[in-house]
Amino acid sequence: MKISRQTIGFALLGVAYLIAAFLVFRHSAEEARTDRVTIRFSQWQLEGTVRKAFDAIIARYEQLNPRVHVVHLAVPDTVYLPWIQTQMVGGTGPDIAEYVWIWPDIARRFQPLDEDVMKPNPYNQGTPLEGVPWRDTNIDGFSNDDSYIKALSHYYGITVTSHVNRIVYNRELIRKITGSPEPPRTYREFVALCARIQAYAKAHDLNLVPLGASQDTYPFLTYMVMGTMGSGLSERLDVRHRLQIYQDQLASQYLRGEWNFETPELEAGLEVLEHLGSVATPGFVQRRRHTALADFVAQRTAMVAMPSWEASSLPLICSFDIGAFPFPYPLQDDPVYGHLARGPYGEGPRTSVMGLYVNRTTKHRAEAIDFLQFLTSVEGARIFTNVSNWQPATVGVKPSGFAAQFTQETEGWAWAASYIGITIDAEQFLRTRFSTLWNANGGLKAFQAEVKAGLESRIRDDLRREVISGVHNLQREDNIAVASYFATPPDRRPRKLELATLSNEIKVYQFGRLLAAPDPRHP
Amino acid sequence: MRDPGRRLARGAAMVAGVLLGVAALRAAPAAPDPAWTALARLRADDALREFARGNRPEEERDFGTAVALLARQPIAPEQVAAARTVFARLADHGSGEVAPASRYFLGRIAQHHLEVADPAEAARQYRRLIAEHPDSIWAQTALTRLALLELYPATAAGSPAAAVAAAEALLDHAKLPAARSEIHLVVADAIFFYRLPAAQALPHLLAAEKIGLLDAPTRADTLIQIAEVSVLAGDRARARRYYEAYLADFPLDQRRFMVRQKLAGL
Repeated sequence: MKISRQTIGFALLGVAYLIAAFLVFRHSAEEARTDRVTIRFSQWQLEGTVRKAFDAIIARYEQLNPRVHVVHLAVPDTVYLPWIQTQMVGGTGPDIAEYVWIWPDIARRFQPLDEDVMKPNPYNQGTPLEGVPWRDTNIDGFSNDDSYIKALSHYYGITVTSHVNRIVYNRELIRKITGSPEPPRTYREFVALCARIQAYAKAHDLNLVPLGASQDTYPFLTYMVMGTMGSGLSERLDVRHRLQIYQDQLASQYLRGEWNFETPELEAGLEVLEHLGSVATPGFVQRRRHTALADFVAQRTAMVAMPSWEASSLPLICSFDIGAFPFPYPLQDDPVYGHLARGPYGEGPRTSVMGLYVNRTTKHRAEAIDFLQFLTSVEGARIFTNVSNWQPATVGVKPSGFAAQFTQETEGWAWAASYIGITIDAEQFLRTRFSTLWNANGGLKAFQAEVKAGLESRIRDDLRREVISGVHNLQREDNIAVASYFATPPDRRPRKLELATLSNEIKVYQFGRLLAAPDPRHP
Repeated sequence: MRDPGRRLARGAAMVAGVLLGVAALRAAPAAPDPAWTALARLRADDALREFARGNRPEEERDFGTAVALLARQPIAPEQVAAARTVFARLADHGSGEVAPASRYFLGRIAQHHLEVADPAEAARQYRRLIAEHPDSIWAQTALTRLALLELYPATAAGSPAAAVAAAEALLDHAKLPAARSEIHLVVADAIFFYRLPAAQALPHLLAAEKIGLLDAPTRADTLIQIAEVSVLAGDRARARRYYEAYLADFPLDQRRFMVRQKLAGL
């Protein structure tokens, strides 16, 4: 019997319809169940170990709470933002969603957790964290940008991990080249190691370069090196005396002429970066991260710059022994840059990430909070790090053996200022200029000239946008504050309107003043 | 014939029953107001519908409708103008909280809701509010917003020092601790912004910290600022005290290493 193409088409359509109907029915049936509550949880970390870790946590949670069923939705990062926005707008968003503080509509889509984070996490009973407010069981006290949304003055995100960047290296190859598998301890040892790898490759006619990098990882190098090398400058720029500098503050101080890329500390940082570019895979600015990974696995590079989240896959795919070390920044004893150094250096702010937010319209708030509490409890965090090889974000929980190499160094000077990620357009502009720094026809002076010509206008545009979005935020928060006030019975009304934080309103005025000043050095 | 004692007892029981019922009604938590609740959740259209159909005093209905107009997207200038007209009427002729709240919104509209902000008008409305309803939450909230207008005037006619002095003068009107705390903070920050001598910020930072209403991130900043500026002012004992207070109260803050280094260097 001959089956026409039309029949096949209809048959496929019918099968698709039946599958869709089954899925909808199963979903509706699950919703209609009265013996258990189903909550849905979405995230975009598709690394195998991380998905397995969440599944293991859910399995243990459901064992402890048979009345609750948790559905894990792992959605690719390339489509996650449009997907979650569509779901939230359509009213079908998950009860818990991974989200990022700079994405839109946090106040509209998610709910504050202020009261919850101040209460102890019940899953920490019998541990050293028993009775400790949930907030204080997180390594940064939920002070990170994803947890405490400064523009809204509320706690929203529960963060579960942290990350650092490391130089991952091939221990066997390094031993073969240098006679020792140990990583370099100083900047000069690192420079010497790179030279030995290059000499070895030349002598043995190998397609081997010292360092693998890519367009996805080099920005981390630039943030780390410039931020660290700029420590002395940061100390001078800390005019608010907080031992901390916000990126938009750096942007405004650039307009005020208080720093530029010719400032000695930053020039030194650029020289260090210039060297890194010279020992990295040719064309790395254009290459994607998987090519850097492939080069390292194929032993075409002896080292690779890598964030800890990506490195968790390496033990599964490398046929050789690997190690990891933090970039050895020049310290006070460095013969060239020692006079500019302000070490020892910490690795930036201790910040946890991967914020999980609770849907504003969830019907199962209590269960969603309960699951998040288990996820970030001592037991949940142990499962997370041991299965995923990612860092835990719960105080006192030790990272897994592999993840321990990526534990953030917090004992050191760290100003949280990168000088590259200052404001949105300015950052994009600076990132594109690095190709000049690393180009054989460019170099340090060419980079400085291009930045001098183009950075100020980008910063001005960024700050202008900050003012506009700041005013919109104030308008919205005004209405919420007043409505919340009148929604409260008169005898229970607060003695203060919960407006947007003062710091946000101050920023609108200070940036506005700076932009309007004929001479921004004296606003 | 009926027994008068029993009738009395029955009557007393009825009265007691009614009183208990009234007491129970009073004790029952009031249901959340659907219009204000919708607005608090940024559902301005729902709020407008609720205000239109709800059985509530006319003034509150008009006030709520005007607030919702400021939130309904897309916000057109005509919408803001309509809200402003309502607020102006209620500010002059309204009663209870509606009058000062409307005056507050007149200031707020001029400050942030117009296409081109009118800071002079905003300041005028805030000053009138502070004069007419000095103790109200609205006037106390307006004080900090007026302080910002004083500190960052649209034209750079006066000196930063004069702007700071004008904002400091508003402290005399701050009755609520929250208002005093906020004014101290905005003044201190302006002193840093204008690069005036940092020591001038010290009394403001100390006062804000002493009032005790700072949220955790702001308090951590303030303790460090007090210590750091105290070092500059030569008061090492105070610097030590505040560095130590920070270390005791913020075990997870990222600046602990730096503060320990500073403390060791005293």
